[in-house]
Amino acid sequence: MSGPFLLLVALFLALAIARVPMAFAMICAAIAYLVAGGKDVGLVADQVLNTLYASYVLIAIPLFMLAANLMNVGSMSDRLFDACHAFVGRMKGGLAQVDVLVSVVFSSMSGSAVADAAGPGLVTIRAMEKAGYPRGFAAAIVAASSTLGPIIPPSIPMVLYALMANASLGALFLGGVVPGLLMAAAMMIVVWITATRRDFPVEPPPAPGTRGRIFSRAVLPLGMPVILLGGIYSGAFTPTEASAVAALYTMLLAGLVYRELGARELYGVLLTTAKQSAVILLMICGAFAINYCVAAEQVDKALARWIGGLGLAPIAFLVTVNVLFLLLGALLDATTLLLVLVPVLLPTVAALGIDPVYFGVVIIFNITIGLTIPPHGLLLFVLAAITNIPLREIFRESWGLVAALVACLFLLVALPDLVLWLPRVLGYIR
Amino acid sequence: MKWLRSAERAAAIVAAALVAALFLVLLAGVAGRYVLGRPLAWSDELAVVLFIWLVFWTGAFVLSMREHVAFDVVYELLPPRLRAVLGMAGALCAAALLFWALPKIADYVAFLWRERTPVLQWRQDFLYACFPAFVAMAGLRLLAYTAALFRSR
Repeated sequence: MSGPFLLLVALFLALAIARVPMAFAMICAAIAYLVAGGKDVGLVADQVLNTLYASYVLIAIPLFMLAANLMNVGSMSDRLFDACHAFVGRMKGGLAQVDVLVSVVFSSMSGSAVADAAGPGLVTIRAMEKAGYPRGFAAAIVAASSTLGPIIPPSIPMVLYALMANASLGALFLGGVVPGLLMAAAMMIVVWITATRRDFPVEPPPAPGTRGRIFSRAVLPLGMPVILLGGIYSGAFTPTEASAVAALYTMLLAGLVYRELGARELYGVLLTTAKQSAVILLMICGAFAINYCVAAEQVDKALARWIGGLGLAPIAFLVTVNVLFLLLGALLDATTLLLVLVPVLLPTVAALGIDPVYFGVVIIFNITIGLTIPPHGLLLFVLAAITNIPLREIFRESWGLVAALVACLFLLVALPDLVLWLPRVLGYIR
Repeated sequence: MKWLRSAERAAAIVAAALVAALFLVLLAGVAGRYVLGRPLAWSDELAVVLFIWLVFWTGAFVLSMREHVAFDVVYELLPPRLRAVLGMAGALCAAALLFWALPKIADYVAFLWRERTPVLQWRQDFLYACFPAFVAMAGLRLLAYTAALFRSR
């Protein structure tokens, strides 16, 4: 590793600790590397702009965000909530079970955990507080179930990974389905145990004769994942186009059918989408610049050679990486981990003969769990901020759920077929 | 500073309009293929152009420093005085690097004046002009942030 590269690493860490935004810290570290190495600084612009220009798949990100923000404007979250309520409300810990099911459904429409927490998650927290659940538990289950967002397709982190690893986005999306359902089942079991032990309430059944009406109110919103995923897998749309069509469907539903979307709301949704997209995409631009330097130094290849020389079994590598990422996830931001550290590992993954689709699903699962781990778990902070529930109470209630998610993660490490079975059956990978 | 506030509002309207335009262009591409029966040659290229402008326009003129993702685990643990000093040093250092690179970045973009996009035949330097604008605004915002930290010290 050369002097300029050490400068890059040191400067990136120093700027990050000084609370310079990650996107700027990455671009500045790359600039410093080029200056110190006597290279043309214009390369930063070259790398950032031309890579962005060539990354058509990234355009799906603002559109997925647009669709999720539109869903959250009107009553669609409430409609889904009511339908899931009629379905699993009478189980032990009814409302918490409802929350997990709502997250499964919403995750098949949105690709981000934060959108899930801020939309349907907020609806369930309010209902649970009203029903007398401990508010810390309410926020903890919503945070844990929101992690389904990036695992069940569509998924924004998977779009990023597909680009970096040059892996099939369709295969990645399919690879997340079984792990997502597994997570949901694990969380429902934890809820059931907790609810039985602490005697959480059971929901009353829906009034006789209303069940049909409750389900019919939710039918139109449920059409969205059908359009989105059906469109992608039938080959009718590219994932980018499918994201736009899904946003159109949601817009028509909110605007024309439910009449909940006025000009003011629409402007708010568009502006929020612009901001959320720019925040994440600027970090991606910073990562393009850093990744250029990593490639120029061949750090990734050196790592692959070094690990290859250790004679490590793939399973030992996967366990080590997963433990390391869980620890790092408690400190570092999820997008930074995915964009900066994952690309460094990719040549090693290839050298060890690990399927890139499998590695992508596992590592995204891992990074997503990090969103719920104190002290840095983003979802906990988002929920604490929008509900005014103290972080301390959420932390106290979340460890059992986090443990269940970590157990699922290591189950995936032990049994790769849980990820690879569905994409293989549908012919996406051999 | 009334003009600044109107300028900010105008910039936000442009950002929202870019999202709307991106949305419509992608739909036009789909409609071209399925309704008109022939793919539109320009829709994918125009979508990429709108996308790049959306990212850097919003980053330059709409996003405030607070709205970015930052790493605050260590920062929050420091005593307030040290925090302010560190914050100012980091922001100044980042601003210095951005302004150092700015002429070279502008040079690189200007150098592309002969290149044109394949379908629309738009000049590549115009298309990429949003990036130097973003770098300059990021530098200015870091300086304004330093000044704010200095005043509140």
